[in-house]
Amino acid sequence: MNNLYPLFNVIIALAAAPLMFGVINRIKAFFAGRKGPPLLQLYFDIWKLLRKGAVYSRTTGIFFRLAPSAGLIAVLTALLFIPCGAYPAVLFFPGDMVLVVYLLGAQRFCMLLAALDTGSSFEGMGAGRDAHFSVFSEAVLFLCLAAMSAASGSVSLNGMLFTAGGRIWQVSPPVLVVVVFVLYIVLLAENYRVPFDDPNTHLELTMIHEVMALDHGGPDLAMLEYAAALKFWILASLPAGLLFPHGMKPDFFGNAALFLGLIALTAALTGALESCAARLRLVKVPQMLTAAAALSVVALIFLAK
Amino acid sequence: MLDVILMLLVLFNLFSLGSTRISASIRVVAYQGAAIGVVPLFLPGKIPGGILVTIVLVTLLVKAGILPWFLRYAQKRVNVRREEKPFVGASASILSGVAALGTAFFISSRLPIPFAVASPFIVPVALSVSLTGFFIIISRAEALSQVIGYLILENGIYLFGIALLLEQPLLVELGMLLDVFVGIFVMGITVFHISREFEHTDTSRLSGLADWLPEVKRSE
Amino acid sequence: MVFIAAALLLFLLSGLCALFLNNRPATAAALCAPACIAGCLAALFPVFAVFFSGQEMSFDLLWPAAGGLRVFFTLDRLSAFFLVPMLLLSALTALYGWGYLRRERNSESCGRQWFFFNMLVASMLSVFLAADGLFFLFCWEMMALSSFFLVVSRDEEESVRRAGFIYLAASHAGTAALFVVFAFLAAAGNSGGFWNSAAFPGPGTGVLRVLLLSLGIFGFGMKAGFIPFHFWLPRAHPAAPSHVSALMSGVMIKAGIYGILRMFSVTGGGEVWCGAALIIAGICSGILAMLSALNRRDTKSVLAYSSIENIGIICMGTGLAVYAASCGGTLVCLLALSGALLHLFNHAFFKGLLFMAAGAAGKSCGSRDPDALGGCAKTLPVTSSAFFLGAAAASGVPLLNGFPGKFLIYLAAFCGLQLKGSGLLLPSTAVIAGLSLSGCLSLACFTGLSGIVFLGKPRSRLDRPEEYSALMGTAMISAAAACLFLAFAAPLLSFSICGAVSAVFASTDTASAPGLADRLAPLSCASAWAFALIAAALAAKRLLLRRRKVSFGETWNCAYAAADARMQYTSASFFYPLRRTFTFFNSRRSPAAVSKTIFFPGEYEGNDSRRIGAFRTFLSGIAAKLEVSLSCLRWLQQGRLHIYIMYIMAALLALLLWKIR
Repeated sequence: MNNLYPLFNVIIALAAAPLMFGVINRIKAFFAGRKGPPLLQLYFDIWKLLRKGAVYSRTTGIFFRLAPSAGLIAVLTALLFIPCGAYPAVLFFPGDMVLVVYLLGAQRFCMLLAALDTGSSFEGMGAGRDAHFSVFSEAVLFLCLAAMSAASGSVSLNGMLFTAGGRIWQVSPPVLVVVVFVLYIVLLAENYRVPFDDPNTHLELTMIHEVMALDHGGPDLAMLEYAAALKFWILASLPAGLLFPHGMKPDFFGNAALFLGLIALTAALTGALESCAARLRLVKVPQMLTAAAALSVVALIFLAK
Repeated sequence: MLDVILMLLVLFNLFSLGSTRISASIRVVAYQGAAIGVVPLFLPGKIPGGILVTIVLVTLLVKAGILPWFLRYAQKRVNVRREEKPFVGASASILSGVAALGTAFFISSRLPIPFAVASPFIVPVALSVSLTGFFIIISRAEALSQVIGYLILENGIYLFGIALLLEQPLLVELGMLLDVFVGIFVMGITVFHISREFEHTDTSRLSGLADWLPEVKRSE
Repeated sequence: MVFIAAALLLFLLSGLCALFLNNRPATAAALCAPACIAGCLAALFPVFAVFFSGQEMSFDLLWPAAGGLRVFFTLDRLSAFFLVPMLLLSALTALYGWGYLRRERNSESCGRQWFFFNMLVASMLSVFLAADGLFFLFCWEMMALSSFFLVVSRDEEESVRRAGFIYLAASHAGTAALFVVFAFLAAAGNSGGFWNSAAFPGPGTGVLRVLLLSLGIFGFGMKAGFIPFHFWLPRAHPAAPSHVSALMSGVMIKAGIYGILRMFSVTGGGEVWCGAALIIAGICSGILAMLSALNRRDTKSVLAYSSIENIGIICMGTGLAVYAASCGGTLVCLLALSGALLHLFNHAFFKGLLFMAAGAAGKSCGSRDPDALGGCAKTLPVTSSAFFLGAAAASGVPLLNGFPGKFLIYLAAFCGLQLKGSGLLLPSTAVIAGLSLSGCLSLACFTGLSGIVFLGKPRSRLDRPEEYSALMGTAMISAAAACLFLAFAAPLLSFSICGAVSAVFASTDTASAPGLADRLAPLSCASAWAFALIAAALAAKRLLLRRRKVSFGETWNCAYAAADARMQYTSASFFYPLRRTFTFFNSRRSPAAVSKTIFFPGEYEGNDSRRIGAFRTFLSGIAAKLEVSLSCLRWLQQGRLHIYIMYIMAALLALLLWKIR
């Protein structure tokens, strides 16, 4: 039974990922004094979209039809390498964190090409900006992984978050806080939340992710939204795994509940940030990400001594 | 706890490098001074309790109280809000700050330190604070920014001193503090005079001391 | 060895025959291309034997008639590792060239082109096999000359001539440095073949060792094309015909890396500063090359810069390996060099595929400017699929073959971080940062390029483009199949990779081969799993949509129904955010806008050009100073034949007098 727990964790992740966007929207509504959409709204949306037909633009070719499925599978494969709390990941091998980051990059590759396939200037704009920000956010993510690897003495995500979890906090707590902070910034950048993009609007000012999904419809859009939710879960698992109290050995349900709670906390924080902060000017985004990279290098220097 | 303060010092460094607003820099220098002021409380030393508390209080008063107040007064008189034309941009400054931290760690790993220090990070962080101060002096044109850089440099030297020279008597510490105080006072008066005479405090344009001026295009 | 001799003979004879077929492109191509393919396949037999079994062979012949030229071939594991992609890619590009050159109407130099193509293949084969100093230099020079003549095939264009000249100058500068190194080694005496380490000054002999190592890196670096020796690459590779560009980018620049690795094997693993220099050069190449590749007017120019970036990645791996070997991290050394070699192997195939597809698209559409193309994917299915596959591989998508090499280098860097106190922290962090930055930049660049050239709507009035030639299509499909195969077959190569690594660093041995295969196997499993799942997801979607209504319409343009093809994003707009962030490296002369009124924009004429300014001013400054200082010798150039004959007489007399002294 013990060997099946990681698989159950993956099933829980697959089931609970769309819930996080519901949490974010509810928190934003709370700050705005509204009641807000139901927590399970994304589930209803996906169900509705799956039952719809599709409209394809005549400009698009086979790539447009291929991209959402390929992106979803890439993110799904990346999910298999993420440990969940006190239980290891389903698959792990030395260097799997590189594969995870590049699988998320593969999803971005599909999205960018699908956006350019439509021949629309909206999607082109979003694709150009996404390509621009990804240069920095992936570098910051790798530097964070390097800091975590130096702290935990392991070259596998499983080892970093699960095996050496307690040991990381003993090395140097304030430095780890910095790493968690930088991971949170990467989460915001890669998932196109404030202060990097405003997911509410579809205007030229804020077009990055929402606009790339503009021409998809039906099952394609369902796959895109679900992949976005999974990506949020994957990137939120990293700081949650670092913050997880590894000293205690909870049973399966306690572990799942605690982990879910940590990710929901991240989502709530994201919602609060979106309500209270404004989006950065687009020229300031590289500066912010460079500062984040500098912080992670500082953490690496402190952790490696 | 000492590690937390040292990490905070490094973060303040990076913040002062990345921000071009004078008022934000003054606030950061005040916080940095406050953080350095409380460091002696966490060091194992032979100084009796009462004297230790006096040192801490005086340092806090000067570094986090008097000097920042004076700088703010100077800023209001000179009426400068932000650094208009730094020689090095914000991102490049932050990356240089990280490089300075790395260099400080490298240097401190080679320095032969005869006595035990409370934390392996004190000497590198002190060196990096000094290097940051130097960098700000070199890379900023605004006179007030250079004063802020000088303050950060003095913070670093002060931290280095109290980390390693705990056996020294109280007078050395107070002497350093007095030296900083007088220096800032003199600098402030000079800034007033510069502003009154030239109607600006952009030190990159103050090159009248040179006998020979290269043909340089003035970018106004 | 008989096979190799037969292959060389085939190349030479068919090339010589082609010289007589200048005016008949179809016949020349039909003669030379199959001969070349046959020669490559023949030479593959002994190469595969060494590749898979590890037995080395050699062949030594002294040729007194040619002035004591010693033909000394050694086929050891490092040579075999480089020869497999070289021969396969040569065969593929010969097939592609057959289709490419067969229909050239106005060409009078087809025969010459095929002669030089065969000479290039033959000389590359000899370079990787040569084990005698003089013979190596002879083959190296043949390689440079034949590729030069191929680059200037279309010499009616000024830019092509200039590109060829710069290439020749750079190549000879490198060869001159190599001459010095080899001359020293020859003077020190080499009996057992060139690559024996007794001739090279050992670790203790200070300045001489440093000098020779630097000259070696300079000479081989000029061929490999990493920064700062890259300046000839972005001009020469686009100027050449596409099959030649594919061969040059895929194999010839790897000859430089081969030389550097041989040099390190001879010097007992190189020095720390060599490793550091290679890492810095690799990082600069990776990042700066991709920054220059954004928004180019020519598809092949972008691909040339991408070659520089990939050479940078290989340099990073090699540098990290050399650094780690001097610091005692043997695992890091093995992983880093294996990653560099694997990436080299894979790069030959996906870069060849990309150049072939770019050339085919250029021929079909009539233009290579991305801003004039668009929407070709619907009518050029083979070309566009090949280009997308190559672009995905170049961007490092994990399911394809650009990823395993980079993965191993990343793993080496992460392992280097674990070794506290060994001084590997800085290089490992630098390698991680450099790899991620260059990887993301290449993802941005290739998605932009392939999206703008092949997707969307046509941006200018082109006739409906069609596939140019079935032979080219066959070559592209084979290359794509090779890329896909390599994506899964990386663990199979681990034995030969370890053999190659042990040829360079004698401390590692082939017992670690299963360890390498174990590290690469999960990647293949993940790729297979992901491909299967994608097929399943597509099938599921088709099932879902079968009973629903699927209709077609126009792209959503905010209810603006008259959207034009010119309103699409062009490459200038796509890369604008990136170029604006990195203006430090892309110094532009911005246009001076003059507006006649204050309310409406006026007409202006501007100039938007790019250069890596600092480097060019540095080089031109040095060149100017050299010109000034050497102008005192101008008087020697009288321009009259009699004076020159007098010079020759005087030199001969002086030598004779000196000899009989």
